[in-house]
Amino acid sequence: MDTATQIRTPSAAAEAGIYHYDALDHAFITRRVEAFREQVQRRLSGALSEDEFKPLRLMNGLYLQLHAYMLRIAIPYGTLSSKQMRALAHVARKYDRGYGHFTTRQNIQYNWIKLEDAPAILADLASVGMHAIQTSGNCIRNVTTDQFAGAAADEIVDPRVYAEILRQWSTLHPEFSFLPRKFKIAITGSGHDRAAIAVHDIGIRARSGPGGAVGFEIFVGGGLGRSPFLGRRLADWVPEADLLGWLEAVLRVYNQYGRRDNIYKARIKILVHEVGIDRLREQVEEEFARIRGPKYRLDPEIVETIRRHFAPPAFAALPAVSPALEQARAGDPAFARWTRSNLTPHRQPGYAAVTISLKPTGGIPGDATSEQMEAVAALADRYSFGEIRVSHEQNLVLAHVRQDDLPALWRELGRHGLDAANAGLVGDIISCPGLDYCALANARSIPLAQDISRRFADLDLQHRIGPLKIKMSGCINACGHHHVGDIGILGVDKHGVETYQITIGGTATEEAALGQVVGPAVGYDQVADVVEALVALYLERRGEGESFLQTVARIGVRPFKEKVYGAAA
Amino acid sequence: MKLFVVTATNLRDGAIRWLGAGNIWQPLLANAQPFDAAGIVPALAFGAAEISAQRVIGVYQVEVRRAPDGLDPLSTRERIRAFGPTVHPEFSYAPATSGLGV
Repeated sequence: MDTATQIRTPSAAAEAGIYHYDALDHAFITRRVEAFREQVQRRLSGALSEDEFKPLRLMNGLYLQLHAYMLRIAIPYGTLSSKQMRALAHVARKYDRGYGHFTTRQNIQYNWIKLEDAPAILADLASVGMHAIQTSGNCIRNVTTDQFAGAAADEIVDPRVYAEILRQWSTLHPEFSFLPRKFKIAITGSGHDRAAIAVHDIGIRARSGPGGAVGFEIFVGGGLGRSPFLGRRLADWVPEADLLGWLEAVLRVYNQYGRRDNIYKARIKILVHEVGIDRLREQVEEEFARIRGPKYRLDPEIVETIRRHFAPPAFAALPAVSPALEQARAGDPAFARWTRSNLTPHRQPGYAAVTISLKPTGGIPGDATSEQMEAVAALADRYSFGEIRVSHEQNLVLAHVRQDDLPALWRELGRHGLDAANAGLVGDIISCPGLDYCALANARSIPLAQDISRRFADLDLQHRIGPLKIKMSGCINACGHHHVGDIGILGVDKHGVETYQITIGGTATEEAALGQVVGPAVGYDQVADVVEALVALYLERRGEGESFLQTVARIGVRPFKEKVYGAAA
Repeated sequence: MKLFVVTATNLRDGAIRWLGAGNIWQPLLANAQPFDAAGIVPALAFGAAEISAQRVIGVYQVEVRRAPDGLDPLSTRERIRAFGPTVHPEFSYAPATSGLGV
């Protein structure tokens, strides 16, 4: 494999910030669909057994879940065009039950897929440059990044350029298609980490060095699940030219030494834990020294070509403050409240990045109907250069909205039930599908998220509480990132009964920390009460401007424990 | 006496199936044939043959009890599988006999 030379230059852009497949890409995914169509036909005819077929369907994102087949579609680094969003809406309407579920991996899942329809779905998606490759299996999964990439005022380096390079490098990499276990990479380009790099197998922080040179701080061995670990720093500064060589070396070391004898000990975090970060670094450096050379050097011309593809859209020259926005804020408290929670400062004067919350009161976190997806696509065309982001917090983002347009955008979002003013607040709950859909789950998570959301239906209360992240998983696999929630909730099967372990004090930001268990697990009917009690204690005890995490750090877990077990008793 | 039913997934569309009287696959638990510990053995053998015939996949037994409204799986997981996701009442397969609010 010619690692660096495999990276190709993109075709011309139609929308801002979208990497468009070239003819080679299109030909490849079309062939892939036809191969899968033939495999499905062979399965249905009996020529392939389920044991033979299962790895083939998983390589195309098709799982068998509790009620039906589930299809997971890749959304590279969570970025898609309005045309692609319309295609996702079409799939939901034609082949599923009118909705899709956006995931913590910035992907989308459909829960009610028929095997016989899967090839047609993939063909429809291939027509807009989408696929399900590497959304399952022991390979490098969808590379994730900051949902505000290319827009955030605090961004230092645009991570999409490197996320795209990593996508091309890792796609069907022949050496890394059968790793000891799945492998997740996240990259951020801001000081404030919105991509949760500390809890990925490899976390990358892109930085700017002397003379504007780009380099990377690399962390390895982070991950949640049964054995949660925060990533350890592997390198302070990897020059841009060496990025792929370094990652290649890390993956080779993992491929060679990662455990294949025990699925629970197969992730790279266990290797890091067992051999130590210093020994692993030695192994990686030895491997990098061995393979270093033109084959693995990232050509700056290629980087520049891809960077041009993510060039800023045609922003208008605007004043930093929009009088129209200020007037609307002053005249409508509900709008003003939404702007306080759902806007992120933009690097371009006069613009803002908008989070479209998929967490309405009592709603299913991350779910969107076909109609909502089409509405977002239309709004993206009208207000944000035809581009949409999916956040790992299961929301959507219009990254480049003129401040002047925010009142109109908000009204239109409201017509589609997409105007919840709770981004980053207690109602913005991350939740895995849990036992309602997932064959691996031990307990339900969605209905608890809905219950908690209803308890905090008062948006004024949510805003008074301030930023607070609740994250919930229906099993120890931790798809809902419960370890790194201000409040984490883990579903556990205790003798056939759903029970829930509560943690507090976790975060996935640049100050990453794993939550601490508050006490014994509680029953399904007690969870919302417990969350209310934890939040109430925080409100009672917090200092001026103090976050939930800061309060936990200052007063410790004990007061929360006393409050909970009083409340749950 | 413990009671069991046999369940599977329809190969073609992924829908849940229950083995009913006369070895006919049924879409609803209400139409499943309950077996005792001895009777479940040949029923599972029939299920295995159905896998070989490429009609279903994932055949296994589920412990149930007789409730006033019909058969009711003992575990929460199997109750959700039998009656549908608790978060979408419109997707329910049949009324739950108790508890989960389906």
